[in-house]
Amino acid sequence: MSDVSAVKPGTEIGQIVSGSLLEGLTMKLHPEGSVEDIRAGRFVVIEGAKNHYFSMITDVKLGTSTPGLMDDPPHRDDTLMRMVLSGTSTYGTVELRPMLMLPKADLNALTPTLSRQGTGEGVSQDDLRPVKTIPGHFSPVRTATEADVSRIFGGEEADSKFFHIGAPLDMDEIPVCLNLERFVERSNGIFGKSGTGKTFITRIALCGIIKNRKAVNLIFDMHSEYGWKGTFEGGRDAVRGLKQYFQDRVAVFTLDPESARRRGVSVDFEVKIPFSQLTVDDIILLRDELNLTPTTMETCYALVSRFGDERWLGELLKMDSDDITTFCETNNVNQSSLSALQRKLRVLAESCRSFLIDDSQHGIDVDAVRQIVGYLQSGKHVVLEFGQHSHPMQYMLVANILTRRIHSAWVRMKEEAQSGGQAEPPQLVITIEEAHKFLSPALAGQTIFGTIAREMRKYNVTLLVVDQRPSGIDPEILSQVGTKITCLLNDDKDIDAVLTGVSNASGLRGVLASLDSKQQALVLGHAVPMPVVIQTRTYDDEDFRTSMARGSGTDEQSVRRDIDKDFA
Amino acid sequence: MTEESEHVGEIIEASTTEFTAECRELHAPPPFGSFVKASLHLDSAAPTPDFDHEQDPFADTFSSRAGRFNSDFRAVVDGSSEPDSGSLREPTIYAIVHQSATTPVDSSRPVRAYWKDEETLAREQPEVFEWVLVTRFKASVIAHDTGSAIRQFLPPKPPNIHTNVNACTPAEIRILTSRMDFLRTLTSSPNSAADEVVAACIREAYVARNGDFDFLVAAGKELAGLLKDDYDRLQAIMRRVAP
Repeated sequence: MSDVSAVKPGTEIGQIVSGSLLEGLTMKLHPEGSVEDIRAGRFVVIEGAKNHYFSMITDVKLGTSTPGLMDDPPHRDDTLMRMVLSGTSTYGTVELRPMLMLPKADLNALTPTLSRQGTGEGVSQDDLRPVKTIPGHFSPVRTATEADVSRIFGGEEADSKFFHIGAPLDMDEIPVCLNLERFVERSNGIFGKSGTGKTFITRIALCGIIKNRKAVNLIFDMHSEYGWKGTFEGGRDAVRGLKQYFQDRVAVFTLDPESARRRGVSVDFEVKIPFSQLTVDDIILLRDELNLTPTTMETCYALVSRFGDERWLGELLKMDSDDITTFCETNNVNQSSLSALQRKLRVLAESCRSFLIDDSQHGIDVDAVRQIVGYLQSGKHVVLEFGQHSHPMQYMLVANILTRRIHSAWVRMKEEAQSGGQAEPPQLVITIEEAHKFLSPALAGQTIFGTIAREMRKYNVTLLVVDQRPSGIDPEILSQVGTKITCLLNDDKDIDAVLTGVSNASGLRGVLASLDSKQQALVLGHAVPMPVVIQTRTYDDEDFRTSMARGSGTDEQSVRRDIDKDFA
Repeated sequence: MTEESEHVGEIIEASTTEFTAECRELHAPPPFGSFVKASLHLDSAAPTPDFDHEQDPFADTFSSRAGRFNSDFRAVVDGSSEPDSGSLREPTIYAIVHQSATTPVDSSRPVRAYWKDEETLAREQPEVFEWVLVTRFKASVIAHDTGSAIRQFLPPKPPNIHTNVNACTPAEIRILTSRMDFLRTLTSSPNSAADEVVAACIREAYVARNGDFDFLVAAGKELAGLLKDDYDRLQAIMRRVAP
């Protein structure tokens, strides 16, 4: 950006003149500074007498000490008067939100370590404390330096748990790192309007997790953009997918082998789901899509009690009108609701026929779920592509069925591990898109995703929720989301939803609404010590490729060669 | 430096805040708003406020506020601009001319019109100009030099009567205006033409600084701080100094 040099890191920009712990601090801008150089979301440091306060700019205002000035502003040609008034009678004030404090004594003790290592190593993030007081009047405020950033967010070189996801606003080249260990241990959310770069940030986060081996991933890839090639808005060539970066550590599963063949994707496994895997809960999840009433759902239970968990669907679809009449008479079920249910489920079976198969007729040779669990257990990451079957109904059905079974496998493994003997199941991160469909207030209590989001890390399974409509997600779940990476959101309801469970959210609202529409995100929550606005790093550029190849366990040259070959 | 020829007047009335001087020549007062100086006879036993031997607790505050103009000032205060920094300069009082008037010497005898042109009158009745009329000017005290440092506040005592008054050199004006504390003295004076005096002396300093626009801005900023409750007055002054 051309205006980066306007305010260099470490420049003093003003003094604290008022404020409160609850409402944030007000800084008067130095007369020589221009308000136009100050941008919401920028990371600044207030140097109090005893502490450093790491803060974020939340608002910029124009102030005047002379009331009459507003009635009779100087003429636009009156350069002298404008220069005289600037910084005296008229001035800029900046609202700051202090996020963390660090006692100055600690800082001095840490500095030698910092300079020796040249990284954030030796700086314990435990020394950073939540802000419990505020700096005195006239404390100087300066823009943050690279040392400040690495002190707070850690450095990639220092520890493999840190992963570079971007740079603070106006501070290109200075990495902000995500603490991956903390990231994967809770459910996380990546939000933003359509086209703001959610998918790219998700890819970057996933690359970090895979590269640093912090968890295994299961990605429900609705639009087939993670596994193999992804698309770049704005006409640039396709970008590499996870499979190209991490070769044998990523397996691509697909529901639509046709589409995979057309796109030239090498698929590891084709997923088929037998009727016997469908439970009533899966059908309930689709009640909006299938327009089901509560009565029809009760009817499902009647079928289950008659035919059992595995056969009910197959039996229902096979029924003819006589069967229905007989069944209704013997089981005290409303005939019209049973026929409605049959009709609707036939629609479902029809629309999903390429992967949903009647195992009572065909039999099924390999259980896809067991395959996926096996891959995940052995530490391989699984991308499930939906190909053409990206209708929400299909996506939700498959995601729910698979996740439910994977979750129960994980619960079993975890319980076995607790009883001793068995190894703990690996930390699993499940990535879902269009999450509001699974986690809406009406459904969150019933779907497996709601359960995972709530019980969180107890069973080593967490969610990575990617969504453009966070207001559609149950607030109870949103408040439990550990780390939120939020791109631009305009809708007030969505902004409110993202800031649920965040203290002192008022200042962040403005920051969120003023993000650029591309490659900028507000990161807050468990994996970062303080909320920060970042310019996200560019996915799949030269730098990213190099850093992925580095330390990935294999010879760097050969990885680079493989990546390039795949893409030639 | 104190040659006869430079004298513009002689003090005939003095008080703590201002003095009145009679001009050397009729109708030739120093310009309105110009900087003048006169020797100050300080009693060596008098308690002259002189901080030079102590640590100045405000030194940093001043230097950051006055910016680059301060460098001239500190050079004089520190004596570093003087080759013989060990020796003391002559104590001097600095003032700004805020009024001048030509009146009859004897106030009980009003001047009558002669209905002649000035040249004829001077030839036929030279005594009119030499004995009947006198030009006097008044100047507000803004600063004084204790001999070791320039202080922008009132001296401990007024200058002596019959002390010669001289115009300040551009170099002296630059030093005096390197800090703007005197503007408060001028703006708060009860003088009815206070705004005009302020504007005139800023113009004078602007010329002495060879048209340095930054100086105008710095002076304006100082005034903006002083007149923050009176925007109209600030505007009026700034219109008078705009180049």
